[in-house]
Amino acid sequence: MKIRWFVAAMLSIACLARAAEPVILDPAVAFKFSAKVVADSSLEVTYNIAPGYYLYREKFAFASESPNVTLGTAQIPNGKVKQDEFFGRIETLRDQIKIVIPYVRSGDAAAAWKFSATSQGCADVGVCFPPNTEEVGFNADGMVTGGGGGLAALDAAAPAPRTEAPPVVIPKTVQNVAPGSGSGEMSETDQVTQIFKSNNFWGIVAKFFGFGLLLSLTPCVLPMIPILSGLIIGEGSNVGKGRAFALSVAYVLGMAITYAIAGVIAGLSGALLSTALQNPWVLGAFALVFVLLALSMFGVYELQLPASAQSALTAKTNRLRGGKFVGVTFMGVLSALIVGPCVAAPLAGALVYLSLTRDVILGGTALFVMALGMGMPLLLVGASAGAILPRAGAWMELVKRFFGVLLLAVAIWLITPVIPSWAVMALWALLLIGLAMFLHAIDPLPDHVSGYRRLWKGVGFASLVGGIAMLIGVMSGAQDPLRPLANLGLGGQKTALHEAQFQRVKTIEELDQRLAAAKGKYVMLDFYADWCVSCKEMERFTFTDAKVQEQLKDTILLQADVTANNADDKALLQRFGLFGPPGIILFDLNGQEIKSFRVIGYQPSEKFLAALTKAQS
Amino acid sequence: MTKIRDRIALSVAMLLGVGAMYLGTTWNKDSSTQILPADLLSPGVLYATSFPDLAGKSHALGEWQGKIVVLNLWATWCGPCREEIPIMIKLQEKYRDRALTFIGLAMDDQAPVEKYAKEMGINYPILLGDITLGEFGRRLGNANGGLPYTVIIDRTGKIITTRLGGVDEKFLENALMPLLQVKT
Repeated sequence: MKIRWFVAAMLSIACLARAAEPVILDPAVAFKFSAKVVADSSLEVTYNIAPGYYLYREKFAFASESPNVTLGTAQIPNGKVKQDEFFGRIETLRDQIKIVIPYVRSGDAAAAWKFSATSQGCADVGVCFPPNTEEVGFNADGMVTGGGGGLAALDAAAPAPRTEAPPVVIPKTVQNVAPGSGSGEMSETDQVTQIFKSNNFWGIVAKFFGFGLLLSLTPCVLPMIPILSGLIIGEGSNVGKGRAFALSVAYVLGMAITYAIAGVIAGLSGALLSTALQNPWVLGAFALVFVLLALSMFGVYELQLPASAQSALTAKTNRLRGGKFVGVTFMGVLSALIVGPCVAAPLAGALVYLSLTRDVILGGTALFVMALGMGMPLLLVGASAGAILPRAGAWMELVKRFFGVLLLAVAIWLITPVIPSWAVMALWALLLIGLAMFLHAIDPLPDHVSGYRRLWKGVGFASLVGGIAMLIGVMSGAQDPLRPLANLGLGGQKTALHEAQFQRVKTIEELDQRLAAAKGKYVMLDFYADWCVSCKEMERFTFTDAKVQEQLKDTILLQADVTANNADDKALLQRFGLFGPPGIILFDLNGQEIKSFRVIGYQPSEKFLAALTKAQS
Repeated sequence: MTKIRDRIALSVAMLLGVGAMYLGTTWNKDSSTQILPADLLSPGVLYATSFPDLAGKSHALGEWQGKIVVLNLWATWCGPCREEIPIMIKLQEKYRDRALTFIGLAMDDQAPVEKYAKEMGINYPILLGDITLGEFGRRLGNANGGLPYTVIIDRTGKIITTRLGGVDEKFLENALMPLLQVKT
């Protein structure tokens, strides 16, 4: 019965909607526009869309009408996606939407300025409108001084009728959605920024938790597992299930708090986040901690305080039930700092938003729950470690050694960006050879041993061969630990693009000169830093791909090395709204950025090539 | 008890629906003959107006003088416009020998229009208009530039019917019938 009532109601609503068909509002009324300066460097554009009307997300265009103001990338909320048979994926927006646009003022700060906003939409009844452009003027204090009435009125003044062929003047908005240009495409950072679109606080928080869960499936979290396991095992053999889990919680909380704080700080200061945390000395110190932890795993020493201190501490711990937790939480904090660059892309999106909205509470909370999501597998490890780990036993030693090796691997991984590549290879070689020795790779096996022993010997032998190959590689001057024998003529013919073709740019002025000189050619700008792991991955795996090189053949390759993070570097990064490398920007034949391209974070060659081909076609 | 209440509710809803449907049909009838501006384009001005075709060659609308013209203002970015194009192709085919031509005036970029026209096999002339039709649109009776907008012009250049929003086959046939019956 209820269903019938519902159907009838829907029927009448449908008829009413149909009845309203011929009443078409003027676009200026249907899409009511207003704009204001919200922070000293952001514009907020609001469209109040009448019921039954919608705007195309891809058709917005915002432009500064004054030379002293440069607009950044507009943060447009996500719309409802629908599949269009001609254009493919398109997004539509309804009700009220707010768009935030950062801007940079240069020159005369006291000057008034103007900005124009173009939008385009349709009515559900089946009528679409041409792009509607609104212009707003601001005085030096960011107060609206005029406009908002739209340019449509100017049409009335146009001479009529046209007796010549009218010039085909197509606004940029339309060119942006030419077929095949992938109007629905968004760079990874954009996608993250878009998550903030809804005004629902808890909805955003929930989305970020899910986002963290997804991130936990990436290798970024892997280095944390041995760290955490090491901490739990380091507790000794009497780790209870509950305590192991509690330790994991403490660790994950430490990580989450760090993300939240880092997010808030970056939001407030706009500082280059990861550079500060990726100082060689900081990295070196952490690596040392891991080496020490590893040594204790190998039984070189027992990680114990002097008996007197220990008993005092135990007494305290018993009273506080948290002495150890502080330490573990602190390790969580450190781990977050180290793994940060690995999740640079989502972090950048969140930070961009933070710096735009100044909504510190929302941003901080979002990053906090994102880290909690990332920590889920760690909690599982913690819970299961407590459950699985034997109270005592011989194979406990094996597990400890295994984690010892992993901890050493993490230590090498940590300092990889700041030491020469030959040293990295040498360290890996030593680790592999050491592992081989532990696995009895060259010890003769007794006649009647179990299959397991034979298997481990096999693994050890493979490790030994790998280690020896790397040592030979170091001696022959190879650069890449994954291809140690390249210089012996056994490897492929791949050559790194980096030194050969990238031209360095240092300042914005230099960049502008290069862009001006490169008119008619695509220009790719790569932000690079010595400590940036994904930059090195791009260099090693993506830029060496023959197909990628072929596609980039006629593209001018520029590179900004922002390792030093000086004022020029910061200015360059800020111009593109970046917080730090990695970031690859592509400019079209006129020197304008192709926004849909933007690569932040590592992309394997296939994905990079696809994006590049699309952007350059 | 519940059943009775449901039945009353259902009847009310039905009544509402029927009432709305009636209103809808009457309003729709009104829309087919819009209130046209006092300075509606005269045949002379209409025929003097020209637009480029996809190859960039300029055509004055006067080229089609003596034919019934269905001038359809559309764009590839306009979903409702694309829905009615198959109908126009079909009717163009049907009335080709009756001195009737559709003209698609696209408020759009050349490239997507060319691609779309090829894809759909559009069998009537396509011209490119400025995206904001402005004064020309207003004097065709299309004040806010909404699309699709269809104008039916008789053989002498007189605007007979205008329609904002989608048209169906029946609407076009009904509007064209009296014009087609006039002997030339």
